[in-house]
Amino acid sequence: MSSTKPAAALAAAALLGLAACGGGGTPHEAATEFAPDTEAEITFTWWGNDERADWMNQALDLFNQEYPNVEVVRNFNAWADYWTARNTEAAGQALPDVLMMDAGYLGEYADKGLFLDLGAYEGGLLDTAGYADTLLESGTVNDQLVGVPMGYNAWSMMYNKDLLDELGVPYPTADMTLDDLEAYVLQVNQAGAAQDPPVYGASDYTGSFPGFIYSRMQEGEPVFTEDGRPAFEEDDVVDYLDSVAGLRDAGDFYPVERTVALDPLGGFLGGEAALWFNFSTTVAQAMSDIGTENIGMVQAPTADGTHVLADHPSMLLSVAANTDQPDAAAVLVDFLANSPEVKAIFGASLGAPPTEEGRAAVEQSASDGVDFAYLDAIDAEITESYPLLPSGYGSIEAKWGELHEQLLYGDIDTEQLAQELFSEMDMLLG
Amino acid sequence: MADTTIARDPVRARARRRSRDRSTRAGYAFLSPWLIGFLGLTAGPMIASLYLSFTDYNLFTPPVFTGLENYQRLLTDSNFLQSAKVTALYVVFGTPVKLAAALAVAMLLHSSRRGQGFYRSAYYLPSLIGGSVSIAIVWKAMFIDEGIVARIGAVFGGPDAAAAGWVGDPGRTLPMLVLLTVWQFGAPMVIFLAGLKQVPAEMYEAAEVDGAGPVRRFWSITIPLLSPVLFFNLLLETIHAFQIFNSAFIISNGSGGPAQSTLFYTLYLYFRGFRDFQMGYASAMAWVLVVVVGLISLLLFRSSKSWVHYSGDDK
Amino acid sequence: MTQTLDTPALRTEREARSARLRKRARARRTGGSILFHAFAIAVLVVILYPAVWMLMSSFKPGNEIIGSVSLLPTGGGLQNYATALEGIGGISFWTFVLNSLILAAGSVVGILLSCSLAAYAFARVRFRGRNVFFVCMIATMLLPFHVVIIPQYIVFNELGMINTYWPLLLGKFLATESFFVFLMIQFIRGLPRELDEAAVIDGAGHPRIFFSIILPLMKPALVTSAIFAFIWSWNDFFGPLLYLKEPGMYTMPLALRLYVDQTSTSDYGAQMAMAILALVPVLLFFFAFQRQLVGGVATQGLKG
Repeated sequence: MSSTKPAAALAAAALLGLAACGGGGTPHEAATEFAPDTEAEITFTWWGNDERADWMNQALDLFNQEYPNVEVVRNFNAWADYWTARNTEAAGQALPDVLMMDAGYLGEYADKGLFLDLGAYEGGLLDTAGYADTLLESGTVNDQLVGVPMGYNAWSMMYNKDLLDELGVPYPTADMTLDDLEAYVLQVNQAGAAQDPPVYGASDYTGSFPGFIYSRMQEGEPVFTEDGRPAFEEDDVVDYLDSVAGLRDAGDFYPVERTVALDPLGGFLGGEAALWFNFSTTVAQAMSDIGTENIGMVQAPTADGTHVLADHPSMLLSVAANTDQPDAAAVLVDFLANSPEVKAIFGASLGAPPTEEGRAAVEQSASDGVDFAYLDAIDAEITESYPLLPSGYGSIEAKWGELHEQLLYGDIDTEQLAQELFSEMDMLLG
Repeated sequence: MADTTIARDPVRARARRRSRDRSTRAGYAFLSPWLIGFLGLTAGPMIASLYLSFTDYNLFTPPVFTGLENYQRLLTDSNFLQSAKVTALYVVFGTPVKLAAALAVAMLLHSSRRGQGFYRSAYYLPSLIGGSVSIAIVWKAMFIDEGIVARIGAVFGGPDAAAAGWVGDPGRTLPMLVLLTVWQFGAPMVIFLAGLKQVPAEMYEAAEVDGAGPVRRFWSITIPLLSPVLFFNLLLETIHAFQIFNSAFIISNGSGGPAQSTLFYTLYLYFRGFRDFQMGYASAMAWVLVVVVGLISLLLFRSSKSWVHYSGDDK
Repeated sequence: MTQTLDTPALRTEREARSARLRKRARARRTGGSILFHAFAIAVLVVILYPAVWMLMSSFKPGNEIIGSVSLLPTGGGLQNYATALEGIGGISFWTFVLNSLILAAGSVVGILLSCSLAAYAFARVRFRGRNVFFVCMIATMLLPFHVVIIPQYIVFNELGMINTYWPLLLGKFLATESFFVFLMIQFIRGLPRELDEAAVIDGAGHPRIFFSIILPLMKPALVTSAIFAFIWSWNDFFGPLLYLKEPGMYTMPLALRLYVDQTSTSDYGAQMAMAILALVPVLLFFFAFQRQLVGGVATQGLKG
């Protein structure tokens, strides 16, 4: 081919581009003062829907009332597209100055040196005094504060009151054991069998990785080691999955075929299953998708009915290492994380505000009320930080879901699932 | 194209060379946008990704050369094998059915009757809608329990509509996606219509006089005269089928499920590249796809010599 | 080279003949005509049912769309459309329309310009290396684009072109969409060579032959290319997803996704309504030009 030479030159140029990536985390002098009339332009990106975008714009308008000369260029994506976009930006060292982070990705980005250590601003431009230590720790990677939680939530079990009332089944209680749960699921199944379509107790609740983390936490066992390797064995996974083998094999869970058919809703959100296991913030989603405000929430059952809970940062704010406006970025993070007016706008939709002051500012919607009441009720049981999740966690969580679906279809058994999961983790964490 | 002519007349030879030079200059001038695009946006990136396929590269840190490791890993990766299988099935079933549908409809519409323009536009509609993000919800609604397909199936003696949904059945999600591509037969239909327009009507007339029935006429006139178009469509649709991404992505909400039944090759490639940031591995996958598609194109081209007839063939 | 002569004279004669044939056939086949329409309408119903379902569901309340089997909405009315037209996060609905239009128009112009130039070079100019490049061109038509996205992204990033329309348009102006080059080559090859040979004798160079003879004759191929280019650009999802970061730059397909977010509440109703609205321009464009759609496809097939 006569075109080889220029093509090779171009490829070389492209590869130079590749090689230029990496690095980050340059030291800087953290300012302690930021004059309100300082001029700066920073970019800020979040994920979410149209409603959140409206609220974010209101919040940023408030910010500009206080700091009129800081121009905030705003971007947002839907969750699924958010990571594609951020990853490609990260590759080019072109992350926005301030960005919304998820606990599942924080470790990954921080490990790659993509974030600024906000610890230097603590006590100065950034006020974290009102935050629980357990919560702040979940934003800390390698001893650097790389993510400031905008809100928090906790693992929970939600139930559809309308559905249970209709079936005449009493609501689940906070002190249920796993055995109670199994009996409860069967009770709902029995009462709901005559409905069209039939109502079930729950979908197989071993289908998500956070559920496994919760279960490990009850046993006082870690999930990942300090250096980001799994702290569990294949057998642990098998045991966890087999704990509901009775229900699963007897077809007592909401059928997977129907879950897939109703995707992205599934049994609970589609109004055909009574129980749902998820972080407490998602109650807002449940209310909107099911079209009811009658959703209750208690702790997810454990082996003995007592709980060890962790505050899970529902959303964090990070500052990119490549920012050229670190001070302005820190001021924006502080404003969004702490301003009571901002909390009043968002309610608990970004997670419950971590500070007393922030919580007090929220005029509670139905879902906020349920969420806050739950978090208040479990306050004494929150004794742990949510485990720090290693690089590649997002993929592992997705893989768990995919493998679990294969398990439900009977394509693989629990041992094969564990094997596949470990070979995947070898690749992703190795 | 080396010049082997021995110029006996230096003046004419120079004139000829000048004209050829001028022609070459003009050729490159006209070609320059394409040439820049080809080198900068296709050939260059291709070579870069070939290099990446021999490295461990996570987008964040510089690539590390690992030799053939990525390619070796492919051979033992059960997901990879599953994605290759799903894609192969999709290509083998989707492409012929779609082409057959496109050809059948094109032949139906070719009989220039009233309303032909209307039908043509209406039949093209799915191809316009099919790219929409919302098509996933729509398409699934057709195939869920009690959906239209299950209900029609029940009328014709199929199982009870309440449990006859396709969506949750891994054995039937691939057929569902095959039907989704068949539904969007607009582009090959248009190309077939253009081809049919160029089949001289008198040939049918003559065949009819000779007593050839519609089936004979189809096989001995339509198909041979349409073979270049058929080949073109076959090639393009095959290649496109290999690259199916959008519909698989939105139908399964990006998961390739249920139970990996729609884990298409490109979807898996996307997972590895943009979800797991294993760009080296994803590049290796891309290159395997390039080679496979290349071989199949070559095969199709080879086979075309025996069944494609170009009108006015003077070669 | 293929030389299907398709001069206007021949065409008229052929059309006249087939018209005669049609007249005879019509007498014979009034019954056939009813059969034709019955069949065509049956196909139509099957094909359009999902489209109608989609339209209908845009009138349903958001939480009644998924898992719903009924065709007719049970209330909800125009609320979804009102939500969709409100825009997203302070960005007007019309901004998304305009962005999509800019990109679609840009890609139509780019493709028509660059691909017609390249096609002319391949079809009509003899030069060293032409055959090699022709093979390259066919090869890029068959090339899975996945192999080039990552390096392309890196190059565009180096050039500071992320979050601009350049990465999405540059390729169009550089004829990287080989399908169109090929379509036009085929069409030019079908044009009688006598025309440009005569022009050469008159002393015309390639630029003049191209602009004053070939380009005007290529109109049907240009229209067909424009239709495909418009539709493809309008529906493109992956390219804008990679390169556009600011919602103010978003195209319709990207904006659509903002209504459904798996981490917060989703509004399937508004998404469906916006999906319908997003189809309107492309439908208008298609119906305006569909008559010419078939005319620009020359059918000699793939032949070097």
